[in-house]
Amino acid sequence: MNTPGNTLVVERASLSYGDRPIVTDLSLALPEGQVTVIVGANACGKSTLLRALARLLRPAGGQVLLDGRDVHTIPTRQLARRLGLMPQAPIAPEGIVVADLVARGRHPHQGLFGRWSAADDAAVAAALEATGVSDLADRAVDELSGGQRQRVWIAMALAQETSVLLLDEPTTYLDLAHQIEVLDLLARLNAERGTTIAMVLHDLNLAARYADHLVALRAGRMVAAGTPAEVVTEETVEAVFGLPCMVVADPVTGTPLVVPR
Amino acid sequence: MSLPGRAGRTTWLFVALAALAVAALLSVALGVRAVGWSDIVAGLSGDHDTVGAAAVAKRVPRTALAVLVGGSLGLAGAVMQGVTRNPLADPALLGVTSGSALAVVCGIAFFGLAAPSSYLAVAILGAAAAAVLVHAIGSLGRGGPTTLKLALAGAACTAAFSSMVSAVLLPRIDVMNEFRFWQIGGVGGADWHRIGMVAPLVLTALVVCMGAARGLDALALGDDAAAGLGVHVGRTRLLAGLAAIVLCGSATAVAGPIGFVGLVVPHLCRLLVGSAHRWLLPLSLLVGAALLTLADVLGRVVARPAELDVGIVTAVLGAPFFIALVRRAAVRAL
Repeated sequence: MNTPGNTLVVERASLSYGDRPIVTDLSLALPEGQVTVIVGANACGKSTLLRALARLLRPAGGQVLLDGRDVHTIPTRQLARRLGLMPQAPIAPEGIVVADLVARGRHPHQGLFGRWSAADDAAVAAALEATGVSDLADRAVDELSGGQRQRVWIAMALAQETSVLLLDEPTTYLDLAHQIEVLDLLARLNAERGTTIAMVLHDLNLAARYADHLVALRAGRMVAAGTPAEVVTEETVEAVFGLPCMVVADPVTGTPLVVPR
Repeated sequence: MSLPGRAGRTTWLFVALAALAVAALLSVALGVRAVGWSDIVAGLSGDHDTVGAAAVAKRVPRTALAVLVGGSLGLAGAVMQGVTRNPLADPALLGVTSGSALAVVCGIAFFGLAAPSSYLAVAILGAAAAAVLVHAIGSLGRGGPTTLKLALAGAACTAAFSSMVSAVLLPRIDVMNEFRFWQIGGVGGADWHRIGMVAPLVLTALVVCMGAARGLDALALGDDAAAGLGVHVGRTRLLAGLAAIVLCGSATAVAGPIGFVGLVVPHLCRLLVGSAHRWLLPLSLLVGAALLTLADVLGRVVARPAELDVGIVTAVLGAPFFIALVRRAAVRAL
């Protein structure tokens, strides 16, 4: 699944919406085969950064490279076979069933009038299996719980069969148990398939728990990047979130745990 | 609720095709003048010796026009709903149809347009201008072009355009009779020349729409998700939207403004085959054609010896459906 050199790199990117600068002069590399989590306070530019990684936003300066090639020079369908995206608020068409929604992940693998192939069938079946929603294949997406629905969207991204997967706040609107369920699923996909994952998360403690590589942003600039143990320190948390805190070891995983003072 | 698989969906396409065949046969057989089987056979084989056979022969182009216009409107509605992700999108509701009619009426009244081929160009330009105007009005204020804002802007523009059509036509008794169908919509004045003029455009638009079917499937998931799946969001939307405008403008050029077909048909078809556009689009085309042909037959039969224009029949059939749909959309939006 995983081919070497398959990383996404941001080189001195400046990102803006119209005249409003959001991110300035930011460089970052997603370590191959690892889980990178981007954290920061509200409106720090973390979702904007993810949109730039997913080529939804063209940098005003600098560039985003996949295998050393500017993502905006790669034909979008070809790029979609390498780079999967789960946006923050995707829309399920009314009445669509799970299998049909997951099948739409095959879009970049099909021609304009191309026929559905056995490879498409296999990819969809594998994605349903990996996310544990095979039993729901014939159910309408509208009827599912929030956690189930999120797993279905991840299944759609998996059916796309990309080596890199980007997720914008995949745990929003979920209760804690479902947040853990979704993050465990992503950790397993990373371990089993070697998929390079980058996601934006709100919760710093969950980020520290699931990230191999943590990136902290403040006001559009990178404040720290590295392993959770390197990044989650009392000083950095105060600098990034303006929150005085203590950092202790998570009694379950040993990863850093932030306790507000 | 589980949708039919591939076999079930193919079956629905054949059912729609059979319904269209029946509708076309009825359209040739039924009318103000009652005719027998021998007249129908004679009329269809080009023999105009009896009055009945001549009446049948006149109904053939009318039927062909109803099929063409109904199919165009059904398909245009399905594509517009996909492009805007708006369940209330319909060429007539969004003001596109009436804008197109207004452009043609103004062309005839003020610029002396006479050739039907120039109607066609003006109708399509009018449709495009109305689409841009309604979208601009519906995008004002917070939240961009929401479902209900677009529908409201469309309703307001439709009312304005229709009044203007009346204002242009009413003082001119001379053109009024000939162009009355611009106000209401009808297929009574069909001839082969007009049909031959719009058919190539409709076929081209159909091919473009089918080519955009997968892109529309991806667009349904949201713009970001579609881009992530490798779709050129702007390009797909522009191409499919243009095709829908050409379909709607062509239909309006030859039959005047006809409402509700583009709204009702795609919703009905979605219940039958689901939301995948490679099934939805061809089925909407067939069902639209069958529905408009049947509506035209109904208009000829219920008011004997006079005729009701097909635009009135579709409005009577479609209005209750529209109300039900708006109520549901409003509930969802709250």
